Amino acid sequence: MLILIWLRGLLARRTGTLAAAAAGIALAVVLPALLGAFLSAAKATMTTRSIQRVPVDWQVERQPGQSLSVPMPGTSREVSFARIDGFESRRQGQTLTTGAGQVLGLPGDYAATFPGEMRLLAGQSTGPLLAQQTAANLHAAPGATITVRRPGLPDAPVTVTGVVELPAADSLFQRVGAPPGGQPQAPPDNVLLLPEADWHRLFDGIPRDRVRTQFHVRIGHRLPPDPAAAYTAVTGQARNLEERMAGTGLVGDNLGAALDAARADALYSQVLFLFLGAPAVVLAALLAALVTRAGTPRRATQQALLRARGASRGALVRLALAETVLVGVAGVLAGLGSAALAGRALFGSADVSWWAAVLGLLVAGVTVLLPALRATTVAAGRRPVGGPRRSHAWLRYGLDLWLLAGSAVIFWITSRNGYQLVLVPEGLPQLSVDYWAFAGPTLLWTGAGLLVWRLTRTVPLTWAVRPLTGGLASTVSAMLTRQRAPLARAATLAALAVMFAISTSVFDTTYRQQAQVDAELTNGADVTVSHTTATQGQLASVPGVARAEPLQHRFAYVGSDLQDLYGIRPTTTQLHDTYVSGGTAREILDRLARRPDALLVSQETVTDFQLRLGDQVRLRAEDGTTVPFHYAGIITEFPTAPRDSFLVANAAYLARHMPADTTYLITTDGTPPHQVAAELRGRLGPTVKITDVETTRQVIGSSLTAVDLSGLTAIELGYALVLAALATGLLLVLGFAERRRTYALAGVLGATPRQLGSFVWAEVALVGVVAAALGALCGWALSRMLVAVLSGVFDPPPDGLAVPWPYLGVLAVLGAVALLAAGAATVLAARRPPLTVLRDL
Amino acid sequence: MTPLVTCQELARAYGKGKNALVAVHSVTCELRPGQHVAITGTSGSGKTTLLHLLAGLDRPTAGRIAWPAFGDRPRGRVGVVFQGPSLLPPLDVAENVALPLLIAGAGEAEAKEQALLALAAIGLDDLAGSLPEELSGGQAQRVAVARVLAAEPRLIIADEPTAQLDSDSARRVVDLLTRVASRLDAALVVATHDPLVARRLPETWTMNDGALTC
Repeated sequence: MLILIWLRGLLARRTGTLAAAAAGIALAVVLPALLGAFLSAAKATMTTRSIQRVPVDWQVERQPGQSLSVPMPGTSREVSFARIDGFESRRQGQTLTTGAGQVLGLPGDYAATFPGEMRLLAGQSTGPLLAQQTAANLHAAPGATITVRRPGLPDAPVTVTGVVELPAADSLFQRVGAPPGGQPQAPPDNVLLLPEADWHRLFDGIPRDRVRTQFHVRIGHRLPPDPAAAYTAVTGQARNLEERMAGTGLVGDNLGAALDAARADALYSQVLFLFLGAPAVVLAALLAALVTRAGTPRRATQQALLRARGASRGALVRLALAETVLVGVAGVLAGLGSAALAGRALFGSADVSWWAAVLGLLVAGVTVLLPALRATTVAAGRRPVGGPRRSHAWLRYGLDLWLLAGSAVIFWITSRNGYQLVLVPEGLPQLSVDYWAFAGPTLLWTGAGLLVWRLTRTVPLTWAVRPLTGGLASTVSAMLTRQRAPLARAATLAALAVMFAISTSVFDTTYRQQAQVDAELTNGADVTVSHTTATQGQLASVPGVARAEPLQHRFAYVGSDLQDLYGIRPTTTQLHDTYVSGGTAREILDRLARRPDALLVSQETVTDFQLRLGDQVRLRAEDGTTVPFHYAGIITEFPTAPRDSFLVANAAYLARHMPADTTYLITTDGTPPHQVAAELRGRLGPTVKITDVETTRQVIGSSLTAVDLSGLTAIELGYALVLAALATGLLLVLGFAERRRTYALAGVLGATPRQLGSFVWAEVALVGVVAAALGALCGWALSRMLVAVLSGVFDPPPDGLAVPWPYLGVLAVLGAVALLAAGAATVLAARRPPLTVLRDL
Repeated sequence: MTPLVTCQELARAYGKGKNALVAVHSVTCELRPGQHVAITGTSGSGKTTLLHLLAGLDRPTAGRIAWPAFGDRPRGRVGVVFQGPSLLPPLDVAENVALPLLIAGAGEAEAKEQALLALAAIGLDDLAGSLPEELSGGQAQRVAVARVLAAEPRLIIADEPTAQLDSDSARRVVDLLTRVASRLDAALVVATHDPLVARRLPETWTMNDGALTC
């Protein structure tokens, strides 16, 4: 009965206090709930995208001399492969031949059944189709007749009806059942697709060791949303089929491989979540605890009164428990509801994480129930002002400094060893995560928080507040000195919120910048055009093209090592500084420009061949001719180049001594690259290879990095703004609310509104300056550490940190507005007639 | 002699219309330097409201009040001793006593010296560094009086300053107030339930249902 009366009274007369406490708990709940929803949605998206990206789920290959008696699951089509000696075409009296190739026999509805496997570029989709690269090699277009050189049989003419692109050629021509590392380096350049009947007519008579048969299968896609669970399900089904086939066939599990990569992406997302999201969850919980804790003095007074009137300790605990449940449940429901709404709006998932509810109830228990359990006597209702006279043990022993030193040492050790938290080995989808590296940022977070607390307590207040308070400096200083704890709490949380916002935004911006650089390196430019006879002037006249930079490419031997050789115009080529070693990009390019036969080589080549600057390097072309160059510098990255070793020379010198195909790197005038690429395709025809950076970025990015990381950062950057605003503004308002009596009494003693204002603005300025200065400093340090520790995520490593000035501008403005609003609200409240305030308290 | 405060048909009501509670009505009075007055009356008779009006801490809803000696703004120039604790919790005793002087524009050194003198005058200089929460009720009230003494006001208003004190402490506080007021030639108004306190002042006014009988 007492509980009901008590709750009714609280609801009727302390609605605002209860609502503030519930809002605080909702704040702690909403971020982890939203992050949980993000992770679930991201994982489900990764699974869906993996399924969508795979044109053929399984390639079940019949073993030589065996017949498959087991029916294929789902939808399947039989595909025949024939290895042939090559193709030939005649054009204007000239005969063009290719090396060995493959001819596939496909059922008539193959393209409709597996639409992702091929894309028609020209002609008709029925009849013999030539792969784009093959068409370029043979200069063949739809309607052309080519010759197929069959092993053991006479050559056969085939009239091409269309040209296609094979987007998934790697998996299409995989060696089914090969051990890891046993797959072909690249798919065949020369490919012809024939209707099933034509294929049998041409190749039924060739040697059996030149032929293989596969069943291309699409299985049911009702899979668990988690990529790890989906991977387990799919690979299990594949092994089951292999077991039933009893050695007559092997399964090439394309879907399993894609899900395996997605599984690694999911692990990667969890690492990023821990690194970038966990501090925000802790900050939110601390902020919620402080907001909810604001009602503690009121509760302590009430409990003391109840105790004085004979209430037992048990009764007090039951009342506190009832208030805890009321506030906790309301806060949790509000938090989960808000997270569900935000999740649906941001990434279409309301699947919030329920462990966030546990966190909310924990915060309610710690901030509402725990103080009540401690306050068992009337004397406990007293409100001490100065706090403990003796400083905390951690302050005396310098724990903050030890933590920061520990963080620096761990960072130094890990950096010196080239340590990376996330390793992405070439060609392997798995990530290697060492959780020891979490220690560096964790110690930095904790140490920075405690350091801000220490500095807020030790700053010379009288000197600091004198500009704002004038003759009242010593009084204001004394007031702030004896209220250091709430002041330090507000300043520390505000600084940590600023630190979180800065580090997250800098990391995110650097990440995006490097993803773009990676795409540019892979694609070469906004748009890249190769295998074309068009001139630079023709390309430059296409709408949307701002500049067309020619780039020559061919292969050359350094000793016995075959490397890519690029010819550039050093005066017009632009490179990032991180692409070169031993100077800036401009310096290295100038060195290249100074000598016609200058050559830039990779570090690996310098080491392998013991080169010194100025040494002659004799390159051997594939036709056996030898051309002398001189080693002029080291280049580490180059657009479109492989990562290990390649060469860069002057285009003019290369054209004179080793003529090569010209590729054009197109810079757009702001028109989206995919539009310019489409325009170029329309003008240059299907046999010209045209790629754009947007498409490349989607191809090279994992399912997570290409799409979903933006959801994570959107949540975190938005929440960082909210945290910064609340930490700076709300905590000040709560602190001021506790000091209403002080201001009212000062008003009774004759303090003018201006003088009362100086009390308030001094505190606002102190919190603002500490939060901005220390938050920015620690945020910068944390950004450097995050980028260094997560350097495996960046490819290539960044020149430096990318600073998102617009976001930081918004952060600064929002923080300042929150501070000013808190100050202005308090000044207005302090101007109320003091008697009214004293009567209300 | 110029009166410190003059009131004519002064009234103060809380709320409006039928539900309005009239705390003070039709009060006409005047206070001059050196005048020491006790205001008695039952609880709810309007004593505190009248004192707040006299101190300029509240505004009348009808009638007129003026402080010919202080101009338009009496707040800060009237020494007020409240019924309950009125010391600023985060300031120590000396800082509390010095605060009205600092607010009035005195220099830090001067304010501190005057505060310590005022504390010494009432025998509390050994508590100068204590926080209000460390004082007893009597000590806190005496510090509040010291705060008035330090500011040297010409009008001192004390609202039941002895209500929470034992008789010995009450006597010491009232003696202190009258001594201070006499030394400053200030007018002293003390609202009290206690007839013993009222008898220690030469003049007694009575409040009854918001009306004042001088």
